Amino acid sequence: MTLIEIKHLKTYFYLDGEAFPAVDDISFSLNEGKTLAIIGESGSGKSVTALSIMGLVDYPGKIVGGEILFQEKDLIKMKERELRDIRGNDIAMIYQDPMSSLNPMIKVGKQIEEAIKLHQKMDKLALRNAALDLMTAVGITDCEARYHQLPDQFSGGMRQRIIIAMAIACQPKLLIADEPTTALDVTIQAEILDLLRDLKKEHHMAMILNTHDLGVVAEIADDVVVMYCGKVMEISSNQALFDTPLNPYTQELMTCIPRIDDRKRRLETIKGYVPHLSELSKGCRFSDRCKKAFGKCSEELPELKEIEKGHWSRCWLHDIIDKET
Amino acid sequence: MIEVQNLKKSFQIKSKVLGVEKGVVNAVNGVNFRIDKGETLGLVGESGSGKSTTGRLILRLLEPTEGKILLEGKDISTIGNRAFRKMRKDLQIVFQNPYSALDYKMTIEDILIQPLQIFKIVSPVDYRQEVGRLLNMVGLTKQDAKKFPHEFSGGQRQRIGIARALSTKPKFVVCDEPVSALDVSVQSQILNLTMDLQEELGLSYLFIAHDLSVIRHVSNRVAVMYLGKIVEKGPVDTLFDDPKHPYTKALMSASPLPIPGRQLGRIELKGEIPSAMRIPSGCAFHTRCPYKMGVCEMTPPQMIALEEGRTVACHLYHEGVQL
Repeated sequence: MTLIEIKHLKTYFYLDGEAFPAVDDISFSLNEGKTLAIIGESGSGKSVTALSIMGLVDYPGKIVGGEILFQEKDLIKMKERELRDIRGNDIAMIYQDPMSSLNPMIKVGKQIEEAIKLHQKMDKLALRNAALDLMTAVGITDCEARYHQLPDQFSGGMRQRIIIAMAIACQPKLLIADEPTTALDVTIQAEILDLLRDLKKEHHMAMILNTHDLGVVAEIADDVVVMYCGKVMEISSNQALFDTPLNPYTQELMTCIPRIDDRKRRLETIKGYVPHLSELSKGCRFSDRCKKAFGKCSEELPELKEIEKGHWSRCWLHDIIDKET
Repeated sequence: MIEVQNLKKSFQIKSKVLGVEKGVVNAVNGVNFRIDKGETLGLVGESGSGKSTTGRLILRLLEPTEGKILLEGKDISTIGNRAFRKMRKDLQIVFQNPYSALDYKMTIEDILIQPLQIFKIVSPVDYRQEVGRLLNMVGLTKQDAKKFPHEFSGGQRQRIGIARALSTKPKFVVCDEPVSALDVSVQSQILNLTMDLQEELGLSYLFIAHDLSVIRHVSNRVAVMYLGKIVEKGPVDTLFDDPKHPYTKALMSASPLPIPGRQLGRIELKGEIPSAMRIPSGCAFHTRCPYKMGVCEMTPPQMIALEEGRTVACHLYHEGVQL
């Protein structure tokens, strides 16, 4: 069953009277219990997409079009009060930096209780027990003592576990994780990914995971959305994306990342830099860096098309190949 | 080119402010290595392992507590500050964060002329030309000289950082996580650039990174650090194909690979890296090691030479004996 469907979402930022299309007409959907990875570099719009779903886009940003259908109800049209019942309850979010999302002055146990209290009525003792259960569930040992500690007595990985405990407090149907392991060491990253995978299975929770790391995508995702400068470039199943990437951006990205299992000393490169949102090409966003670009690419934006079943890509080359065959 | 012997650095924490305990942080705890001319030594480890401190000690941005640093056979750790300043041009560093490493109020030209002036690399009439040459070398143009740092993207700023480091014609460069703040699609440009320049100019690098895949690509030899000590050292390919130390094995098995559906043969570590204020007795890694034996808690392991050029500090390996 479809849990969340995003249709033609547009989130723009307005600065000095100019509109910057941080998220520009993106559509995708996610079924219950599945993991969708959104992969993209800085400025790709993956974080703004996450904030749009949560209804947390702040001035000078604004959702200017589209629909976000969560269980067939449009989140964008909802009043703030209705949204508050869903946010943190049915949809929860975890962020990249675990320290800045915790209050440094409040015991972590109390902070977890706060997350429960907002949506469920419980007496003090039940609340405390629920918080301790959550701490155990996310793999924190010696909970009774840890309950009374402050965030700065926790290491980065442990803090991220606290954040996850808060996020799953109300058994959300959808968990949005925005670069949850980027600030962590690889050994801790592996543990947090394991934890997320287990929780997902146990609670039949769907997950949207933002990352820039293809390795993380391969390990955890069912489906993948590739974003570049506010546009979706490719949508695919995990396996198909790595077996047969269709979009030139995805293809080039895969050849230029260094790999631990690869002895080659020289890497492929993508020329140029990720453009700023104020200097986007009117054609394909990747056209000025693409090795396969031709005349039309910088003139006109290609459509996102279903090339193979369940595998979508946005590129003019697909049209040429179509004509030839 | 450069050799480090029994390098140690400890920081005293004196006051008890905001719950910070008094004590000694042993950031670097007896490190030995050698880097030849034109060679790259990759230094890898988790945060808190002392990689960056090691880099800074070699450049004497920090004063070592103990140990020797030999540059072409001369001990530079005991030279007075004034005399050392002259040698500083031989030793340079590229920083992690290209946003904070450049002065935002200076033009690129000013940033690059400063080292030329201080070390009298070229005569003042040639400054312009030299700046142009440096910018060309790192893939930028002469026209960029008049711009300010904020007009560049992260990758371009890192190129400027590299140009600045190379302006004094150094022999040895510390690259401290030079690509970890950059976009994925830009990283490979910078990695290739550093390697090309090394070949062209015969530079020696100490390349510090937490990302094993980056280390694999740039290094000739690799040293793995844990809590201020090197636990394993060896040529890049043999070390990556057949890691010996349990910590190296765990690091490698934890690195995600872009292959979906891969069987995760992960070596799980218990907990996280302990604080450098309370380094465990014996082998510092024994609190997390899945292969812990009785001896590990008591006796620190010695560096043991294995096959060609490989050394490991672990009780599992005795000299010449393979497990």
